[in-house]
Amino acid sequence: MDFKKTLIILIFYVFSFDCKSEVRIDITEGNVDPIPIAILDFQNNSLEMNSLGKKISGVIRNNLERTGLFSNLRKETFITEKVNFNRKPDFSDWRVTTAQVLIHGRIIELDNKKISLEFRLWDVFQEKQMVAQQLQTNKNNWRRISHVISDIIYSRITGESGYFDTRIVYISESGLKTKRKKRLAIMDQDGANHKFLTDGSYLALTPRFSPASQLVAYLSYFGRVPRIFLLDLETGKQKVLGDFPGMTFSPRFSPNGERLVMSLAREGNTDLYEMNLKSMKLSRLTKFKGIDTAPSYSPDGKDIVFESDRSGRQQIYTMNLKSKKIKRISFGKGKYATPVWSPRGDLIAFTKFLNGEFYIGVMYKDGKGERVVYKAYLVEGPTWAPNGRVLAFYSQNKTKKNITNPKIKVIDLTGRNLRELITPSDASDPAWSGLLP
Amino acid sequence: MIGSLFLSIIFHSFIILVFLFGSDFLGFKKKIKLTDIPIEVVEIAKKSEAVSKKIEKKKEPIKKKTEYKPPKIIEKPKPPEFAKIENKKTSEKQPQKVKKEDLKKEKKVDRLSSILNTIEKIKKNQDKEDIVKEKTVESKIPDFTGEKLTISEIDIIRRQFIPCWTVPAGIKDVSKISVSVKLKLDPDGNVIGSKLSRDYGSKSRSYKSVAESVLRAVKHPACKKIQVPKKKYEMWKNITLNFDLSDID
Repeated sequence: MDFKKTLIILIFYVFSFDCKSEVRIDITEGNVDPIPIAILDFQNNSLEMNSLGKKISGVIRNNLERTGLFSNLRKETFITEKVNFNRKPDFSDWRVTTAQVLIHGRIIELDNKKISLEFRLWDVFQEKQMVAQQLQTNKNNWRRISHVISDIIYSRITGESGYFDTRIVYISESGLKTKRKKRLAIMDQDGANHKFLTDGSYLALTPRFSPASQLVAYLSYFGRVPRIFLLDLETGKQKVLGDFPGMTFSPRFSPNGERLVMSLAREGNTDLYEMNLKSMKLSRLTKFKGIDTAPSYSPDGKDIVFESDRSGRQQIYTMNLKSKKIKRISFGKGKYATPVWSPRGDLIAFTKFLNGEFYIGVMYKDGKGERVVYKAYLVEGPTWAPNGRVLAFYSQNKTKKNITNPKIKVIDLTGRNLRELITPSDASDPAWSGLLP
Repeated sequence: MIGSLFLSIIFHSFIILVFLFGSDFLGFKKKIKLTDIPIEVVEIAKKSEAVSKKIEKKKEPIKKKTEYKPPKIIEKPKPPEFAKIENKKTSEKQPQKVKKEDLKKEKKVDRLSSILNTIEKIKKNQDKEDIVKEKTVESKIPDFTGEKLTISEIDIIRRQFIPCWTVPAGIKDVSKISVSVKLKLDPDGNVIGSKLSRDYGSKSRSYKSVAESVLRAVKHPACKKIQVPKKKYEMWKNITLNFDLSDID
């Protein structure tokens, strides 16, 4: 027995002596400053192509800067503005600029219509190539190709998929408050390529993008009866989604775009219904005397999250579509509304009303880890970017004199990077598309 | 009735007796012996920071000698003080010098030489002391190198990496990710090698992103040279940094 003990002690001592030679230090904090990046203009010998290259790298710079995760270094700090595409850059030149990442490329004119873009992404500190890619497109598609390149860069550095090659559909508001004109409008995520989709003769509300296609579902008061319309952005055609006896609202597409979940008010009772868009078959999901509304699918399409006043006050509930089992997930003070499941699946964004103020917050799908991302006099309609890391919503602030007009804002999940989207007029009810096909 | 009472008394007294004397042969004491192992927890304590401080305290005389060098330098000016006094004395006595030059010269020589002698002695003694001190310090260096890094020293190293690491906040499952990187340092504190403890090839994209941010951090120009207690090189020549995002949201 004693021998065993001494043997164990001896082994323990030997191991402890071995561990002693290597110090282990836990680092649990770092800086949250944006990563300094150097993006060079895409090069070409011809003037026309060179100016197009500048435009492309300009869009990439703006995209990455807006995320709040990157900061573009000024050209004046560069030792050189040209890097041979086929050679390894001189990293010491770039370390001096504090750049952690270097992006450079070239643009080649293939024919009158087509261009080819080649670019490289370098990790300056590790002196390692992270991406090298070639893309081809039509000349007039240069803005979209810039977004695609931005997505590739963002995805490679952050490990998340990008969200630059996307669009946002929203309600454009204009006119007096008593005679508000609400039109459906669409733009790129950076505010470019703005277009009105409806002329404003009829009130349009709550647009929702299909994550898988170019379909938009929205509520229109066409014929003075509120109904959900389906608009195909490619063809411009639209149709009424079923002709139900009651009022339909709060539509939301399933992740594969084949189903639509919505609220239907019948005989003074609002419940959730799901419609198969192929067969146009409607099935009832909830049966409760109170108001069940604002449903949203989980990314796998197996569950939904919705708001209900069944407990006496608006709270958030989840429901398994197979078992129809309902579970309340919000238990905080105040009223919870418009829950939206993150495309990443981990979080649920919501609107909360407490003590006269509105909040945009996120919580895990089990209701834990609730935290506020933004608060204002009025904030509503959160919508996720397809990577589940950025939220868009609209808000109004109260000043000493009046209440400001609604504007769309975009915020990073950390709540640190808030930006306003520039729109031609007031804007509300944004809905973010998935990555464009 | 009386019988059952009698039986009960016998039974209870038997139990009491067993508890009082039975422990000797039932082996209870052996168990008590086991709890006896206070082992002074000395072995554990030796590894703790508290005891390392104690060790430092034991070496206080040596440290004091080295640390208190400046005060001893203050002692050095003493000779000039003597000299000053002498100068004053000489300056005061200068008028008299003209009258009794020879005698005073002799006296001066004697005094000056004695003062110089004493200064030399003091210097020699000091030099000897310094040499002894150096020798003792040098002889103690191996002890220093054998010491563990203190919490404050570890904290100093840790803090140097914080500004170099750009936290990839907001990524999925961020709280579940921790990345370890092994660093190799030269005696001047330069980072001469870095390697991830585990390759990220098969890991998630989030892990890969964090791992790359960690590699950028340890290769950041601001973190190329680390401030370290140079005497404890053996302790920090290999460091494992564990970048943990569980507290970061």
